[in-house]
Amino acid sequence: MSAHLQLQDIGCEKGQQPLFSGLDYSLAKGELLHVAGENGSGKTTLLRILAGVNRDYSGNVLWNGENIRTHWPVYAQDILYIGHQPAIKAQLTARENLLWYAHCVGATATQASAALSDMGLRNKADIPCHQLSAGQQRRVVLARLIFSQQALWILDEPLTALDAKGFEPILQCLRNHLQRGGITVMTTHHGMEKINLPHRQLLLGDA
Amino acid sequence: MNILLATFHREWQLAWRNLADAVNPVAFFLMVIALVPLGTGTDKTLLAAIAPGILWVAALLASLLSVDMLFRRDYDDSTLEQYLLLPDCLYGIVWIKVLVHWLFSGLPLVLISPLLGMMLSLPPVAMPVLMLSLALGTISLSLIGAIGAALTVSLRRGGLLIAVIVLPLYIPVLIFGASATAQAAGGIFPAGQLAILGACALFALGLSPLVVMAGLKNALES
Repeated sequence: MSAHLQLQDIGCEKGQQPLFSGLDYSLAKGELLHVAGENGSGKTTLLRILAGVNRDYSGNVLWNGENIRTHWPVYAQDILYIGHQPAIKAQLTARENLLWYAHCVGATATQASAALSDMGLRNKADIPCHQLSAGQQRRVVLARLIFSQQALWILDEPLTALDAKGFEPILQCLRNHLQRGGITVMTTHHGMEKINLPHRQLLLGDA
Repeated sequence: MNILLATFHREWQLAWRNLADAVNPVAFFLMVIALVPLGTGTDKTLLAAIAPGILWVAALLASLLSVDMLFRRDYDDSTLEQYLLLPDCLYGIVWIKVLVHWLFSGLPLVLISPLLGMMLSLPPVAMPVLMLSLALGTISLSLIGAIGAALTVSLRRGGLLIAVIVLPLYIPVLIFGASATAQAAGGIFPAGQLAILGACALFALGLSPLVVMAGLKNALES
Protein backbone atom coordinates (compact mmCIF):
# COMPACT_ATOMS: atom_id res chain seq x y z
CA MET A 1 0.00 0.00 0.00
CA SER A 2 1.17 3.49 -0.74
CA ALA A 3 1.25 5.62 2.34
CA HIS A 4 2.83 8.95 3.01
CA LEU A 5 1.55 11.51 5.45
CA GLN A 6 2.91 15.02 5.57
CA LEU A 7 2.06 17.87 7.90
CA GLN A 8 2.90 21.33 6.60
CA ASP A 9 2.93 24.24 9.03
CA ILE A 10 -0.11 23.01 10.97
CA GLY A 11 -1.48 25.44 13.51
CA CYS A 12 -4.63 25.52 15.56
CA GLU A 13 -6.21 27.92 18.03
CA LYS A 14 -8.59 27.25 20.85
CA GLY A 15 -10.57 30.32 21.75
CA GLN A 16 -7.97 33.05 21.23
CA GLN A 17 -5.04 30.98 22.52
CA PRO A 18 -2.76 29.26 20.02
CA LEU A 19 -2.74 25.56 20.85
CA PHE A 20 0.16 24.71 18.58
CA SER A 21 1.62 26.25 15.45
CA GLY A 22 4.15 25.60 12.73
CA LEU A 23 4.04 21.81 12.98
CA ASP A 24 6.00 20.18 10.16
CA TYR A 25 6.26 16.45 10.08
CA SER A 26 6.54 13.66 7.61
CA LEU A 27 5.66 9.99 8.04
CA ALA A 28 6.51 7.26 5.55
CA LYS A 29 5.09 3.75 5.26
CA GLY A 30 5.58 1.47 8.22
CA GLU A 31 6.09 4.28 10.72
CA LEU A 32 4.49 4.67 14.12
CA LEU A 33 4.14 8.15 15.55
CA HIS A 34 3.49 8.74 19.22
CA VAL A 35 1.94 12.16 19.82
CA ALA A 36 2.91 13.13 23.35
CA GLY A 37 2.33 16.15 25.55
CA GLU A 38 0.65 17.33 28.72
CA ASN A 39 -3.10 17.38 29.23
CA GLY A 40 -4.55 20.14 27.11
CA SER A 41 -1.52 20.42 24.84
CA GLY A 42 -3.64 19.62 21.79
CA LYS A 43 -3.05 15.90 21.21
CA THR A 44 -6.69 15.09 20.59
CA THR A 45 -7.10 18.26 18.52
CA LEU A 46 -4.18 17.27 16.29
CA LEU A 47 -5.58 13.77 15.84
CA ARG A 48 -9.00 15.18 14.98
CA ILE A 49 -7.33 17.42 12.40
CA LEU A 50 -5.55 14.42 10.89
CA ALA A 51 -8.85 12.50 10.88
CA GLY A 52 -10.43 15.34 8.92
CA VAL A 53 -13.11 15.85 11.55
CA ASN A 54 -11.75 19.20 12.66
CA ARG A 55 -11.17 21.47 9.67
CA ASP A 56 -10.60 24.65 11.63
CA TYR A 57 -6.80 24.78 11.30
CA SER A 58 -4.09 26.53 9.31
CA GLY A 59 -1.54 24.77 7.13
CA ASN A 60 -1.95 21.64 5.07
CA VAL A 61 -2.12 17.91 5.64
CA LEU A 62 -0.94 15.96 2.61
CA TRP A 63 -1.77 12.30 2.08
CA ASN A 64 0.25 10.71 -0.73
CA GLY A 65 0.96 14.24 -1.91
CA GLU A 66 -2.69 15.33 -2.08
CA ASN A 67 -4.23 17.88 0.24
CA ILE A 68 -6.84 16.17 2.41
CA ARG A 69 -9.14 19.19 2.21
CA THR A 70 -9.51 18.79 -1.54
CA HIS A 71 -9.16 15.00 -1.75
CA TRP A 72 -11.32 14.27 1.24
CA PRO A 73 -13.40 11.30 -0.05
CA VAL A 74 -10.25 9.44 -1.13
CA TYR A 75 -8.49 10.18 2.13
CA ALA A 76 -11.51 9.23 4.24
CA GLN A 77 -11.45 5.72 2.74
CA ASP A 78 -7.82 5.31 3.69
CA ILE A 79 -8.07 6.14 7.37
CA LEU A 80 -9.37 4.44 10.43
CA TYR A 81 -10.03 6.85 13.28
CA ILE A 82 -10.78 5.71 16.79
CA GLY A 83 -11.50 8.71 18.95
CA HIS A 84 -11.35 9.37 22.63
CA GLN A 85 -14.88 8.12 23.10
CA PRO A 86 -15.77 4.56 22.13
CA ALA A 87 -18.30 5.44 19.35
CA ILE A 88 -20.35 2.35 20.12
CA LYS A 89 -24.06 2.20 20.83
CA ALA A 90 -24.80 1.18 24.42
CA GLN A 91 -28.16 -0.37 23.48
CA LEU A 92 -26.67 -2.63 20.82
CA THR A 93 -24.67 -5.77 21.46
CA ALA A 94 -20.95 -6.02 20.78
CA ARG A 95 -21.67 -8.05 17.66
CA GLU A 96 -24.24 -5.60 16.30
CA ASN A 97 -21.90 -2.68 16.90
CA LEU A 98 -18.98 -4.35 15.21
CA LEU A 99 -21.06 -5.61 12.28
CA TRP A 100 -21.87 -2.07 11.25
CA TYR A 101 -18.22 -1.12 11.26
CA ALA A 102 -17.43 -4.29 9.32
CA HIS A 103 -20.02 -3.41 6.66
CA CYS A 104 -18.57 0.08 6.40
CA VAL A 105 -15.16 -1.26 5.38
CA GLY A 106 -16.47 -4.17 3.31
CA ALA A 107 -15.59 -6.89 5.80
CA THR A 108 -17.86 -9.87 6.34
CA ALA A 109 -19.90 -10.98 9.35
CA THR A 110 -17.53 -13.93 9.77
CA GLN A 111 -14.59 -11.58 10.03
CA ALA A 112 -16.43 -9.52 12.63
CA SER A 113 -17.20 -12.63 14.71
CA ALA A 114 -13.60 -13.78 14.46
CA ALA A 115 -12.41 -10.35 15.57
CA LEU A 116 -14.63 -10.52 18.65
CA SER A 117 -13.24 -13.94 19.51
CA ASP A 118 -9.70 -12.66 19.07
CA MET A 119 -10.47 -9.89 21.53
CA GLY A 120 -11.74 -12.44 24.05
CA LEU A 121 -15.38 -11.38 23.71
CA ARG A 122 -16.81 -14.61 22.33
CA ASN A 123 -19.10 -15.08 25.35
CA LYS A 124 -20.00 -11.42 25.62
CA ALA A 125 -20.79 -10.84 21.95
CA ASP A 126 -24.57 -10.85 22.38
CA ILE A 127 -24.89 -8.77 25.50
CA PRO A 128 -25.89 -5.09 25.17
CA CYS A 129 -22.78 -2.94 25.45
CA HIS A 130 -24.08 -0.94 28.42
CA GLN A 131 -23.72 -4.12 30.45
CA LEU A 132 -20.06 -4.46 29.53
CA SER A 133 -17.23 -2.91 31.54
CA ALA A 134 -15.24 0.04 30.21
CA GLY A 135 -12.37 -2.28 29.29
CA GLN A 136 -14.67 -4.66 27.45
CA GLN A 137 -16.24 -1.77 25.55
CA ARG A 138 -12.77 -0.65 24.59
CA ARG A 139 -12.11 -4.15 23.28
CA VAL A 140 -15.22 -3.97 21.10
CA VAL A 141 -13.98 -0.72 19.56
CA LEU A 142 -10.46 -1.99 19.03
CA ALA A 143 -11.71 -5.16 17.36
CA ARG A 144 -12.15 -2.91 14.32
CA LEU A 145 -8.38 -2.91 13.93
CA ILE A 146 -8.38 -6.65 13.28
CA PHE A 147 -10.22 -6.49 9.95
CA SER A 148 -9.13 -2.98 8.97
CA GLN A 149 -7.47 -2.62 5.57
CA GLN A 150 -6.96 1.13 5.89
CA ALA A 151 -3.47 2.50 5.44
CA LEU A 152 -3.55 5.15 8.15
CA TRP A 153 -4.67 4.43 11.68
CA ILE A 154 -5.36 7.38 13.96
CA LEU A 155 -5.83 6.16 17.51
CA ASP A 156 -6.64 8.48 20.40
CA GLU A 157 -5.76 6.80 23.71
CA PRO A 158 -6.59 3.32 22.41
CA LEU A 159 -5.20 1.59 25.50
CA THR A 160 -7.40 3.32 28.08
CA ALA A 161 -9.03 0.79 30.42
CA LEU A 162 -7.48 -2.09 28.52
CA ASP A 163 -5.87 -4.92 30.50
CA ALA A 164 -2.85 -7.00 29.52
CA LYS A 165 -4.96 -9.71 27.94
CA GLY A 166 -6.81 -7.25 25.72
CA PHE A 167 -3.56 -5.50 24.92
CA GLU A 168 -1.87 -8.52 23.35
CA PRO A 169 -4.02 -8.88 20.18
CA ILE A 170 -3.88 -5.11 19.66
CA LEU A 171 -0.11 -5.15 19.75
CA GLN A 172 -0.14 -7.97 17.21
CA CYS A 173 -2.48 -5.94 15.00
CA LEU A 174 -0.26 -2.89 15.20
CA ARG A 175 2.81 -4.93 14.33
CA ASN A 176 1.08 -6.48 11.29
CA HIS A 177 -0.23 -3.13 10.19
CA LEU A 178 3.21 -1.51 10.27
CA GLN A 179 4.76 -4.50 8.51
CA ARG A 180 2.18 -4.21 5.73
CA GLY A 181 3.40 -0.64 5.24
CA GLY A 182 0.65 1.11 7.15
CA ILE A 183 1.11 4.26 9.22
CA THR A 184 -0.15 4.73 12.75
CA VAL A 185 -0.52 7.97 14.68
CA MET A 186 -1.50 7.49 18.29
CA THR A 187 -1.58 9.07 21.70
CA THR A 188 -1.21 7.23 24.97
CA HIS A 189 -0.34 8.23 28.51
CA HIS A 190 1.10 4.93 29.48
CA GLY A 191 2.26 1.94 27.61
CA MET A 192 4.54 3.26 24.88
CA GLU A 193 7.17 1.14 26.69
CA LYS A 194 4.70 -1.73 26.71
CA ILE A 195 4.11 -1.38 22.99
CA ASN A 196 7.82 -1.76 22.49
CA LEU A 197 7.78 -1.05 18.76
CA PRO A 198 10.15 1.34 17.02
CA HIS A 199 8.43 4.68 16.94
CA ARG A 200 8.96 8.41 16.64
CA GLN A 201 7.65 10.94 19.07
CA LEU A 202 6.03 14.31 18.48
CA LEU A 203 6.02 16.36 21.68
CA LEU A 204 3.33 19.02 21.81
CA GLY A 205 3.17 21.96 24.17
CA ASP A 206 6.73 22.20 25.43
CA ALA A 207 8.37 23.37 22.22
CA MET B 1 -25.31 0.57 -0.85
CA ASN B 2 -24.24 -2.08 1.57
CA ILE B 3 -23.27 0.60 4.08
CA LEU B 4 -26.67 2.24 3.76
CA LEU B 5 -28.51 -1.05 4.29
CA ALA B 6 -26.38 -1.76 7.35
CA THR B 7 -27.07 1.75 8.64
CA PHE B 8 -30.79 1.33 8.13
CA HIS B 9 -30.71 -1.99 9.97
CA ARG B 10 -28.79 -0.43 12.84
CA GLU B 11 -31.02 2.63 13.13
CA TRP B 12 -34.04 0.32 13.07
CA GLN B 13 -32.63 -1.78 15.92
CA LEU B 14 -31.76 1.33 17.91
CA ALA B 15 -35.23 2.76 17.42
CA TRP B 16 -36.83 -0.42 18.79
CA ARG B 17 -34.54 -0.41 21.79
CA ASN B 18 -35.22 3.26 22.50
CA LEU B 19 -38.96 2.81 22.08
CA ALA B 20 -39.65 5.19 24.97
CA ASP B 21 -38.48 8.01 22.67
CA ALA B 22 -41.28 7.15 20.27
CA VAL B 23 -43.92 7.05 22.98
CA ASN B 24 -43.34 10.67 24.02
CA PRO B 25 -44.69 12.45 20.93
CA VAL B 26 -47.70 10.14 20.71
CA ALA B 27 -48.49 10.63 24.38
CA PHE B 28 -48.17 14.40 23.97
CA PHE B 29 -50.47 14.37 20.94
CA LEU B 30 -53.01 12.25 22.77
CA MET B 31 -52.97 14.38 25.92
CA VAL B 32 -53.44 17.68 24.10
CA ILE B 33 -56.38 16.37 22.10
CA ALA B 34 -57.95 14.70 25.14
CA LEU B 35 -57.72 17.94 27.12
CA VAL B 36 -59.16 20.29 24.50
CA PRO B 37 -62.85 19.25 24.98
CA LEU B 38 -62.38 19.64 28.72
CA GLY B 39 -61.31 23.23 28.14
CA THR B 40 -63.77 24.26 25.44
CA GLY B 41 -66.80 22.27 26.47
CA THR B 42 -68.34 19.47 24.44
CA ASP B 43 -70.27 21.51 21.88
CA LYS B 44 -69.89 19.33 18.80
CA THR B 45 -70.13 22.08 16.19
CA LEU B 46 -67.49 24.12 18.01
CA LEU B 47 -65.17 21.11 18.34
CA ALA B 48 -65.63 20.13 14.69
CA ALA B 49 -64.84 23.69 13.65
CA ILE B 50 -61.56 23.89 15.57
CA ALA B 51 -60.56 20.21 15.12
CA PRO B 52 -58.35 20.62 12.00
CA GLY B 53 -56.37 23.43 13.56
CA ILE B 54 -56.00 21.79 16.96
CA LEU B 55 -55.00 18.42 15.46
CA TRP B 56 -52.38 20.05 13.27
CA VAL B 57 -50.92 22.31 15.95
CA ALA B 58 -50.67 19.37 18.37
CA ALA B 59 -49.03 17.15 15.73
CA LEU B 60 -46.57 19.91 14.88
CA LEU B 61 -45.56 20.45 18.50
CA ALA B 62 -45.31 16.68 19.07
CA SER B 63 -42.97 16.47 16.09
CA LEU B 64 -40.89 19.37 17.41
CA LEU B 65 -40.67 17.65 20.78
CA SER B 66 -39.02 14.55 19.38
CA VAL B 67 -36.65 16.05 16.84
CA ASP B 68 -34.19 17.31 19.45
CA MET B 69 -32.92 13.75 20.06
CA LEU B 70 -32.26 13.03 16.39
CA PHE B 71 -28.48 13.50 16.45
CA ARG B 72 -27.93 14.02 20.17
CA ARG B 73 -26.87 10.46 21.04
CA ASP B 74 -24.66 10.16 17.96
CA TYR B 75 -22.96 13.37 19.00
CA ASP B 76 -22.52 12.30 22.62
CA ASP B 77 -21.00 8.91 21.84
CA SER B 78 -19.03 10.42 18.89
CA THR B 79 -20.63 8.13 16.32
CA LEU B 80 -21.13 11.34 14.36
CA GLU B 81 -17.38 11.54 13.70
CA GLN B 82 -17.51 8.06 12.24
CA TYR B 83 -20.39 9.08 9.94
CA LEU B 84 -18.30 11.97 8.70
CA LEU B 85 -15.57 9.52 7.70
CA LEU B 86 -18.02 7.96 5.21
CA PRO B 87 -18.31 11.01 2.94
CA ASP B 88 -19.84 9.14 0.01
CA CYS B 89 -22.61 7.79 2.21
CA LEU B 90 -23.22 10.78 4.45
CA TYR B 91 -26.20 12.05 2.47
CA GLY B 92 -27.77 8.60 2.60
CA ILE B 93 -27.02 8.16 6.29
CA VAL B 94 -28.70 11.46 7.17
CA TRP B 95 -31.65 10.50 5.00
CA ILE B 96 -31.97 7.11 6.69
CA LYS B 97 -31.70 8.59 10.16
CA VAL B 98 -34.51 11.05 9.47
CA LEU B 99 -36.61 8.39 7.75
CA VAL B 100 -36.35 5.97 10.68
CA HIS B 101 -37.01 8.84 13.05
CA TRP B 102 -40.18 9.63 11.10
CA LEU B 103 -41.28 5.99 11.11
CA PHE B 104 -41.12 6.00 14.90
CA SER B 105 -42.30 9.54 15.69
CA GLY B 106 -44.31 10.84 12.72
CA LEU B 107 -46.05 7.70 11.50
CA PRO B 108 -47.60 6.85 14.91
CA LEU B 109 -49.17 10.34 14.93
CA VAL B 110 -50.66 9.65 11.50
CA LEU B 111 -52.01 6.29 12.60
CA ILE B 112 -53.79 7.50 15.73
CA SER B 113 -55.05 10.73 14.17
CA PRO B 114 -58.48 9.30 13.07
CA LEU B 115 -59.17 8.29 16.65
CA LEU B 116 -58.28 11.74 17.89
CA GLY B 117 -60.29 13.27 15.04
CA MET B 118 -63.31 11.36 16.31
CA MET B 119 -62.72 12.68 19.82
CA LEU B 120 -63.01 16.18 18.34
CA SER B 121 -66.11 15.32 16.27
CA LEU B 122 -64.28 15.72 12.99
CA PRO B 123 -66.60 14.36 10.23
CA PRO B 124 -65.57 10.83 9.17
CA VAL B 125 -65.36 11.99 5.56
CA ALA B 126 -62.33 14.12 6.50
CA MET B 127 -60.33 11.25 8.04
CA PRO B 128 -58.53 10.03 4.90
CA VAL B 129 -57.43 13.57 4.08
CA LEU B 130 -56.40 14.15 7.70
CA MET B 131 -54.17 11.08 7.58
CA LEU B 132 -52.75 11.84 4.15
CA SER B 133 -52.03 15.47 4.96
CA LEU B 134 -50.43 14.50 8.28
CA ALA B 135 -48.31 11.84 6.58
CA LEU B 136 -46.98 14.29 3.99
CA GLY B 137 -46.72 17.06 6.57
CA THR B 138 -44.88 15.14 9.27
CA ILE B 139 -42.28 13.97 6.74
CA SER B 140 -41.60 17.62 5.97
CA LEU B 141 -41.61 18.49 9.67
CA SER B 142 -39.08 15.75 10.48
CA LEU B 143 -36.79 16.81 7.65
CA ILE B 144 -37.00 20.50 8.56
CA GLY B 145 -36.59 19.66 12.24
CA ALA B 146 -33.44 17.71 11.38
CA ILE B 147 -31.87 20.96 10.20
CA GLY B 148 -32.53 22.54 13.58
CA ALA B 149 -31.26 19.43 15.35
CA ALA B 150 -28.02 19.45 13.34
CA LEU B 151 -27.42 23.15 13.96
CA THR B 152 -27.92 22.88 17.72
CA VAL B 153 -26.44 19.44 18.40
CA SER B 154 -23.20 20.81 19.83
CA LEU B 155 -25.03 23.08 22.27
CA ARG B 156 -25.79 21.63 25.68
CA ARG B 157 -29.22 23.23 25.91
CA GLY B 158 -30.45 23.68 22.37
CA GLY B 159 -34.10 22.86 23.06
CA LEU B 160 -35.55 26.34 22.74
CA LEU B 161 -33.15 27.36 19.98
CA ILE B 162 -34.40 24.50 17.80
CA ALA B 163 -37.93 25.86 18.14
CA VAL B 164 -36.79 29.36 17.15
CA ILE B 165 -34.93 28.08 14.09
CA VAL B 166 -37.51 25.58 12.94
CA LEU B 167 -40.94 27.04 13.76
CA PRO B 168 -40.94 29.69 11.00
CA LEU B 169 -40.21 26.91 8.50
CA TYR B 170 -42.99 24.77 9.98
CA ILE B 171 -45.63 27.43 9.41
CA PRO B 172 -46.34 26.84 5.68
CA VAL B 173 -46.79 23.12 6.38
CA LEU B 174 -49.18 23.95 9.22
CA ILE B 175 -51.22 26.36 7.11
CA PHE B 176 -51.67 24.01 4.17
CA GLY B 177 -52.18 20.94 6.36
CA ALA B 178 -54.86 22.50 8.53
CA SER B 179 -56.55 24.07 5.55
CA ALA B 180 -56.60 20.76 3.68
CA THR B 181 -58.24 19.04 6.64
CA ALA B 182 -60.77 21.82 7.14
CA GLN B 183 -61.74 21.80 3.48
CA ALA B 184 -62.15 18.01 3.53
CA ALA B 185 -64.42 18.35 6.56
CA GLY B 186 -66.58 20.64 4.42
CA GLY B 187 -66.89 17.91 1.83
CA ILE B 188 -64.51 19.30 -0.82
CA PHE B 189 -61.42 17.34 -1.81
CA PRO B 190 -58.43 19.65 -1.17
CA ALA B 191 -56.33 18.65 -4.17
CA GLY B 192 -54.37 21.90 -4.24
CA GLN B 193 -53.33 21.86 -0.58
CA LEU B 194 -52.34 18.19 -0.75
CA ALA B 195 -50.28 18.87 -3.88
CA ILE B 196 -48.44 21.66 -2.09
CA LEU B 197 -47.85 19.46 0.97
CA GLY B 198 -46.46 16.77 -1.35
CA ALA B 199 -44.23 19.31 -3.04
CA CYS B 200 -42.97 20.51 0.36
CA ALA B 201 -42.19 16.93 1.35
CA LEU B 202 -40.29 16.23 -1.89
CA PHE B 203 -38.42 19.50 -1.65
CA ALA B 204 -37.40 18.73 1.94
CA LEU B 205 -36.49 15.12 1.05
CA GLY B 206 -34.00 16.37 -1.50
CA LEU B 207 -32.53 19.44 0.12
CA SER B 208 -32.75 19.03 3.88
CA PRO B 209 -29.99 16.35 4.09
CA LEU B 210 -27.57 18.75 2.39
CA VAL B 211 -28.18 21.43 5.01
CA VAL B 212 -28.05 18.83 7.79
CA MET B 213 -24.68 17.54 6.50
CA ALA B 214 -23.24 21.05 6.57
CA GLY B 215 -24.64 21.60 10.07
CA LEU B 216 -23.18 18.36 11.40
CA LYS B 217 -19.74 19.06 9.91
CA ASN B 218 -19.84 22.46 11.52
CA ALA B 219 -20.87 21.02 14.89
CA LEU B 220 -17.81 18.78 15.00
CA GLU B 221 -15.34 21.58 14.35
CA SER B 222 -14.74 22.58 17.92
